[in-house]
Amino acid sequence: MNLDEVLATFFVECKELRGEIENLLLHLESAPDDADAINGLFRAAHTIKGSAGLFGLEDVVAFTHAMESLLDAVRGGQVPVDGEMIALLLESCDHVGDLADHAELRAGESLEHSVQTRGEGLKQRLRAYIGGKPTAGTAVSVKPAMPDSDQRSGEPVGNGNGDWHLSLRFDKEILKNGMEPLSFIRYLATMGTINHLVTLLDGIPEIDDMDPECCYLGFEISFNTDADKDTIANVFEFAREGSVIRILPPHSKISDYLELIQTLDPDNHIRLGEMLTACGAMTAVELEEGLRTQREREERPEGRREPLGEILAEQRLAPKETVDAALAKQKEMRESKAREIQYIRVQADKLDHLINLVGELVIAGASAHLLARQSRQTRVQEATSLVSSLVEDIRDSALRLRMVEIGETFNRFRRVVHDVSQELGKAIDLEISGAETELDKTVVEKISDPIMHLVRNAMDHGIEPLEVRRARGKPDKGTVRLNAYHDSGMIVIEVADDGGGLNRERIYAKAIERGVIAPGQTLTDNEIVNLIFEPGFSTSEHVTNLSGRGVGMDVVKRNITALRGSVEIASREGEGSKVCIRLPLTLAIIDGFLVRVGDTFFVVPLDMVVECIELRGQETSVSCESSYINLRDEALPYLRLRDIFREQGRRGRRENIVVVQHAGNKAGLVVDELQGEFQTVIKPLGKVFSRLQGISGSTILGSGEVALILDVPGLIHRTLSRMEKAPGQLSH
Amino acid sequence: MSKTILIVDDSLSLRQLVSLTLKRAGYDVIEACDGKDALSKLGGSKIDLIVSDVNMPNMDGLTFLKELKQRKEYRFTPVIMLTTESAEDKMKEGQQSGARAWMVKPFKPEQMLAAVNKLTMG
Amino acid sequence: MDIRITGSGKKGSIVIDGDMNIYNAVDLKESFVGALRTYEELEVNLAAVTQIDTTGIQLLVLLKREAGKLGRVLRLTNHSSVTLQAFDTYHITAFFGDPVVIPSE
Repeated sequence: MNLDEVLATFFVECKELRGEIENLLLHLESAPDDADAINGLFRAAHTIKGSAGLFGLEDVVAFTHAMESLLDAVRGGQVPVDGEMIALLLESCDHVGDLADHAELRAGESLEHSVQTRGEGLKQRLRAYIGGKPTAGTAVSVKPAMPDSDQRSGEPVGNGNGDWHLSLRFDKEILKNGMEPLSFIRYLATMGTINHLVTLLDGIPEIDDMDPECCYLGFEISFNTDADKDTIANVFEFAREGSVIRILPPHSKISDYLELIQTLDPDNHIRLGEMLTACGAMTAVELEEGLRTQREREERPEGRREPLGEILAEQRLAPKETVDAALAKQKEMRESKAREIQYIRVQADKLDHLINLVGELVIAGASAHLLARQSRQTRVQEATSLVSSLVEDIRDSALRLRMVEIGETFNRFRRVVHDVSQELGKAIDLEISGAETELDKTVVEKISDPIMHLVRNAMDHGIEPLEVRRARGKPDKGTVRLNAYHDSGMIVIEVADDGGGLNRERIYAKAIERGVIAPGQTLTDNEIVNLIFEPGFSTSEHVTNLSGRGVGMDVVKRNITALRGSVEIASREGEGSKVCIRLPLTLAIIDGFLVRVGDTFFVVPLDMVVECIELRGQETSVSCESSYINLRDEALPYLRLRDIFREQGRRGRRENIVVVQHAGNKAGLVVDELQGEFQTVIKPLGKVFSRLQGISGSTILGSGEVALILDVPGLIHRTLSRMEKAPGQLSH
Repeated sequence: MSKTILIVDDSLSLRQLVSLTLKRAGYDVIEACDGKDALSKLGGSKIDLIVSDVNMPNMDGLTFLKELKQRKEYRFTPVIMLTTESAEDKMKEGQQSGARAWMVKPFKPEQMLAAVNKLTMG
Repeated sequence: MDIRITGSGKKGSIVIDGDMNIYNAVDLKESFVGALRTYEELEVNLAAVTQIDTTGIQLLVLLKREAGKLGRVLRLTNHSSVTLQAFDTYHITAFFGDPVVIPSE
């Protein structure tokens, strides 16, 4: 671990904390008095500030300090939360993001003027909220208010050796707090030279009164250093309270020493005086003379001791650093935070590397397994199958490492919904469920944009204006729902709204107008609504700020398809729409079913395989590219891969059908030979092949041959569309 | 023998930086993300110094401190509390629980190292 | 920490094995006081002291002082290096007046 890596952690952490701040602020909108949330906000701002300070990111420190001050006032009940404040804090949170980004990406450059101006403006507004009270600066430490005593001319000066003089009388209790005078003195010695040290043992009481856990020692130290008084005083900063710590600079006046003697040891001048002379602070003659003068002064009628003045470095320190101890009960403050305890943070690229290696291992393992089988040696086969099953476990565990909950991604949309609903002037709530559903981090990263588009779309086009909603008897507030769950090896993500739904007639008309479908073509209701995913389709009659960005639903679909996923929409007019995205849990490795068609190997993702059946002679008579077989009295459409991929190679003795299923639809794929289950690493197809229909990727077999991974959703779609275009061909 | 420092803070980056600084200075460092985590990591082993944030989720620094003082083997362990410069009156609560050393956030890594040195050069 | 007190007649011996720190201070004081009352001549063997803090030093000072008051003899022997270092920091080796072996660097 080096500094750069730690700094990188900070930026990640800062991002997370900003997310947390956003969520809490949005939560406060509906529950402005939630003390836990306010506490959490304060803590998040405080944490950013604290860490930023550690890394010397002063811009971030200064700005978060202003946020923290306001939140502290809110926490203390001085300032109530209102909508304007939430908006201000949200804006501030964004600003922190900009500052952090600047520090991350353009460290060393000065802040852009606009950012700077915005920051100042925000700080002013934050301060104004606290009621114009000037906030404390970003004090790093509180400095002792006492200046060093300067020398007045004409007075006798003691201590010719240029040493500082320290008198220490520690608080009795410090040992119980883990403070150790030995340690302080050793630390002091690192800053200079201790020329003399006298340990005062007189303080130890009689044997029966002596509490062995208390500190009874005092010290007189003559110390030579270049350090200044604050630095010396700071050695004892933690012992300060309850202790007497006096620091006399070199060449202090004799009177200062005398005052010291008097205040420290009023009953025994001589004893302490001896100490001082022993320490070389002054000579015996000086001491005696001084004590005499002082006595005379005391005997004068006004009889008052000289004020101690500036020699006391320590007694009257400026108010100590204050303690944040609000500490209201934070019982269940965010369970997800609690779970973080068990996390180890690993850099994503390390994990990717591991998963790549596991991928290679899987291929190598398959190859070894193949060879072992060919060798026909039982023991070798047993050994390799043990290895194979372990490799399988490792693969699963490795992939699980990269699984993250989708909740974090979902939560980001709270802010989006908040902002967009204000932009549109519609009151819209976001409901989230299934936040704990896990999927591969690489998938999560890529799915965020499509979901963003769908959410915006639902808000913009889905949720109706208030009047319409009232007329339809719906609640004033619209709702957008994000939901996720696992379904047969896929993750399903739903974006739903309770808005107006899609207008079938309009879509149909538009599809014809745009040439997406031919006039007169018969389509099911479901197919019609799904036309909105076709390229160049937009149903909006008026292009708004949000939808007018040139990103259509077709782009959403393309992005999802690129992830080997599928998307479809279900809609009821007047009631709302639900977009359903299905994605593989991981992009890296799949369990496949290996088949041969001609001389080419294909892999069918295993989670889509329902069963395999032999295609008997009577059905093969149908030579058309797509047809049906009777599968237990059900019409199963099927495709011949040989025809689709124009395979010419050798045929099998008899053909087989692999029954596949996706999103509730079944189809049969006719192949020459079934090779069995097979786990494989997906290698993305090069750009050249990206338009290849029916193929979603490739992989290398243990034997070194290439196998193509079938795009089952695409093939099913193709089968079904053919079936509808030619409905009369059902053959029994 | 190197000294062992336990750093308790909910900020990972803060822990990492403090830990890095102290390790470079020859200390052994244990990290914990809140009071509860810290208590679970004490495990009876020798800890020479604890640096703990005050405001943390799950178990805050002062509750942690109180629990710590209940444990025989740690009742005299020095603790540096990390805090923010605000509400002075609240510091008293900490003092009653035996908190003597306070450091104000934000601090510089070298300030932390100096503080740790001061308390552990035994 | 382990304290072993042995002796016969006037002469007693205390061997301290382990840490002379605040965690053991109460026990240590009790043992010291007991031994002081039992023997006229007491030797404290510090060879196996693995750590000593201010409480440990204070107790040794107390023992020395009380022995002096009672006219008894207290000798500290075989100082372990940590003990010597602590004595050195506090400049109190002379107070005890025992011969110490300064380890060669």
